[in-house]
Amino acid sequence: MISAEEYRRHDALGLAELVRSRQVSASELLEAAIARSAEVNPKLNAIIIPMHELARERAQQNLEGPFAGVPFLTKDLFQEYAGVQTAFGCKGLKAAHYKPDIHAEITARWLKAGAVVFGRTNTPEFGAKGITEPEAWGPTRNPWNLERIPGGSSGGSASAVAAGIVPMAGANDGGGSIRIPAAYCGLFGLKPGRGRTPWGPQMSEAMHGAAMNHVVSRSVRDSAAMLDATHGSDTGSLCHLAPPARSYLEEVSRALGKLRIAFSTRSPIGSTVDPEAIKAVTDATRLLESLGHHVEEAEPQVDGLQLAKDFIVMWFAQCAATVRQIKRRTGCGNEGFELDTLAMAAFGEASRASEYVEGYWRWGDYTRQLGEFHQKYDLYMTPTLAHPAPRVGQIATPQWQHVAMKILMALGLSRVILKSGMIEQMVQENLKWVPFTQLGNLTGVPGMSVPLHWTPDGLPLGVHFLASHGGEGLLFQLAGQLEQAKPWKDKWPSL
Amino acid sequence: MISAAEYQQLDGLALAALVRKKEVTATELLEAALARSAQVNPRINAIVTPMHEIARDRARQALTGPFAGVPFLLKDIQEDYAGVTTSAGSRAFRNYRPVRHAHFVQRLLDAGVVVFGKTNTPELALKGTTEPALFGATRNPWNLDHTAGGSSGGSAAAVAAGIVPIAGASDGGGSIRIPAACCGLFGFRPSRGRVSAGPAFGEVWEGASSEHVITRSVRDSAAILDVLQGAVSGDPFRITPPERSYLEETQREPRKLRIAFSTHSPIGMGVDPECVSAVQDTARLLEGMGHTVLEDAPKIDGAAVAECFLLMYFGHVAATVASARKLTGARENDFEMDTRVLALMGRSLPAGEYVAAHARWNEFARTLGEFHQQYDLYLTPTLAQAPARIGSQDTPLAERIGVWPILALGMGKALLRSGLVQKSARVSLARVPFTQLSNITGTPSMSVPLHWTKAGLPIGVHFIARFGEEATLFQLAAQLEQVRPWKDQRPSI
Repeated sequence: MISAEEYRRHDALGLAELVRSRQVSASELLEAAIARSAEVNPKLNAIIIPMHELARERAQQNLEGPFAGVPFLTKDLFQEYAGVQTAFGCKGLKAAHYKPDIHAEITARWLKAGAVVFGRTNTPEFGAKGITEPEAWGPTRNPWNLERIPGGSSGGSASAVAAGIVPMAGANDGGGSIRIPAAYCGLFGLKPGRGRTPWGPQMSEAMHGAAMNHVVSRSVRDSAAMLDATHGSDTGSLCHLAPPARSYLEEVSRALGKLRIAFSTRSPIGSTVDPEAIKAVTDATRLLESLGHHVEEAEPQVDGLQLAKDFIVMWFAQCAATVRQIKRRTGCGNEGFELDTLAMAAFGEASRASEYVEGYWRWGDYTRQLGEFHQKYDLYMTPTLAHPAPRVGQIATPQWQHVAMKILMALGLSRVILKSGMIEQMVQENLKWVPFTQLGNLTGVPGMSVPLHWTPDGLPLGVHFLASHGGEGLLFQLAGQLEQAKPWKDKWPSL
Repeated sequence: MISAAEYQQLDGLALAALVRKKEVTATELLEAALARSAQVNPRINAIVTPMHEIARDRARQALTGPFAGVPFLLKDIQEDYAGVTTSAGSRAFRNYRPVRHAHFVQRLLDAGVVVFGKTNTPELALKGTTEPALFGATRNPWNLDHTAGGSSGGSAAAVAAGIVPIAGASDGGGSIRIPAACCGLFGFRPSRGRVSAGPAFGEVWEGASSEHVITRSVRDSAAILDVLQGAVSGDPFRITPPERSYLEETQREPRKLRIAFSTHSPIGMGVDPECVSAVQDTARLLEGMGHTVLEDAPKIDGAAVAECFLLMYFGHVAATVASARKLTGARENDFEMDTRVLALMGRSLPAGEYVAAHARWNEFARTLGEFHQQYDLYLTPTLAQAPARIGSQDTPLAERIGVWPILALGMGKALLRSGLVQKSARVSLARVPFTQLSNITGTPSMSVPLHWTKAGLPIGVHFIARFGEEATLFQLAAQLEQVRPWKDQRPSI
């Protein structure tokens, strides 16, 4: 048996070690996780699709792998689990009780690593927001303050990990969706580089490689060991990356030479940055210097506002394609989608393939510009978030705007809006909370959020690092060093 | 000094060896190339932008690298040479002079080549034949009435005519392999991400396009890929590097391979019996070499591949036309009518539909990937028809579908929904339906010149390997080159 307190004190590798040395069984761990979930999930709404019976059966089997017997959650966006309801945060898909008949490759690799999956976590519709408040399932809350958001789109997973339901949970990141909720919830979140983890068999790449699968976790080594278990292309991948020089787990404890680190606290879209977010970075600068690194203020020559616009226009088109696909798959109509989603899809339908391609070409420019920057600096550091967590419901689209959108869409005026200055306004409104993370997605480089700062109100804030292509190992090395120098493992919400 | 005959007989590595041993100078080689060009280029129209003075200056310098002193030609699209026009076969770009070398070009220069010109390409490299309005048709050295193929037709014609042993090429739908097949040459397409498209591009055509060369010898192609392979800082991803040099691979026996072959057009159109027998002969030859050869094909809807490929075209052509306006001030009517029709389609196609079509690439990559779990290689004809007569394909798309009023009125949506452009494009694809699968799945592939028609026109056989397995292709190509050498097959031009 394991006490509730002891269950929470261990990271995933720690729990796996207990199972391996037969101090505890997989079933006992699972029951501890389910008990914790029963205790806190009603307050958090992090897990929306429980899979207790499947998990109980699995926990009784002979499990192998580095995480054998460790309770685990997947995000309800992709990360399909054969036979289990999957909704992508979407009303129409939820109503259709959609159940995929095969695992996603990433899920298969998590299972091969021995994880015991016992539920799927909340996400905004199609993961399209930095908050987790889908109409289909209701909002997820932040364990550090139930009035606040856990961020998104992997908000359910981050909330569950921060609340101690699991030490690590599945997440994915197409604009910051691993790093943002990790930062809001005081966790470690690493987005691997383009092509590092698989998207098959459902996709070759998600969002042209901007989006990647991985996890949010409490400990750095859990994230590293899980990436060891999941990295590498699959049959249909369009990206087949050079493999890492050594295991990521090994990197975590490897001695690190002196790094050249550039930092900036300026929002790339010109929006305001909260003094606490700035303090998170300036404190980190001092910490890094004390660890012997060279730190200086510098920014890559990237047009941040244009990048944000290209990002959002790409989202619209992706959203349009997804809505098409789900309508075809389920036969549902517009009632199956949130109004915000329909508006995004309408913009995606109204924008032209040629505009999409022109935007995509600029990704190449950003990648080159960041590549040039990385010839001078090993890492680029910014805040992960521009502000501490806002209140639940605070970022929701106002009712009057919903009404206006309905009218405009009915009149077929999406293209008029697209050509007006409204896109820029949308960029400002949607990205002002989280303007730092998209650079890592469009350039495909690995990035991470490290929980190094808490506001006087007790809200976590992350510090964000981007490495160059293939730099996951370097990120793990630095994260390991920071975790040791300024540990966060004893910081727990009072939930 | 080197005789004309000797110059034309040797491959790039052999010429470099002569330079290294000081039996000949880079300048002498260059003059031999220029002499041959003066003799045949007026008839084949392969080189469209000469760079003789730049080349003569360079040939006098102390050059180093595996190809030091070897005369070289670049394809006149993407392969930017700083200060020299990159016209992309288009009036819209005829005055466009890039300020930086492409990484591709820089690496070749670092390897010692002497670039002395740029070769013809159809406008924006969009076709399997090389007949741009800007420069006129490139002709096939094997028969001047026939096309050299495209879009790297200028480079293929120049190599086949003995002007150079190697020339730059790029392949987004077959544009290395098709002209190589038409001209009796070796055409190799590397895996997605093997060769950088920077700094001007991250990926070209959603990663469907790869840069490389057309050559006479297999070893030249391998040694050039040794020079070109590997990402440059700023590229969108880094693929697994090769285990050993490709040149070394050409000297290694391949293991016993499992090879599937098919001679059916994936879009259900006819295949010339000579192209069929090229594959059947090759199948027998491969069996004789000890490989296992079976008739089988991946279960891929070829019409869907063509459709997805075409929608990608629409988007990219439209974006290129728009970018020309910003880059050179070109106007819409600086482009050929076919290009304008494609651009109109791209402006009419909703981004959502574009994305949905791109998402389908996954099906093709996955099905081919599963097929490759059973077979090392997939063998087909390179071409469904022997090289066409010049002009036989130049009925403009626009004319064929009576598109003038539609263009004038900008009724792109109606035209898009009518499916007329798609249908018309399938007619063009009927001649070359085999090559796009490799592009859309990112896999490496090659055309090997193993067959000539009774009329004396070359046609190639085509192999696709697993992603990243260029080595297998080079091993097999070298083996084929040994048992069925083509180096003495020369056009009489």
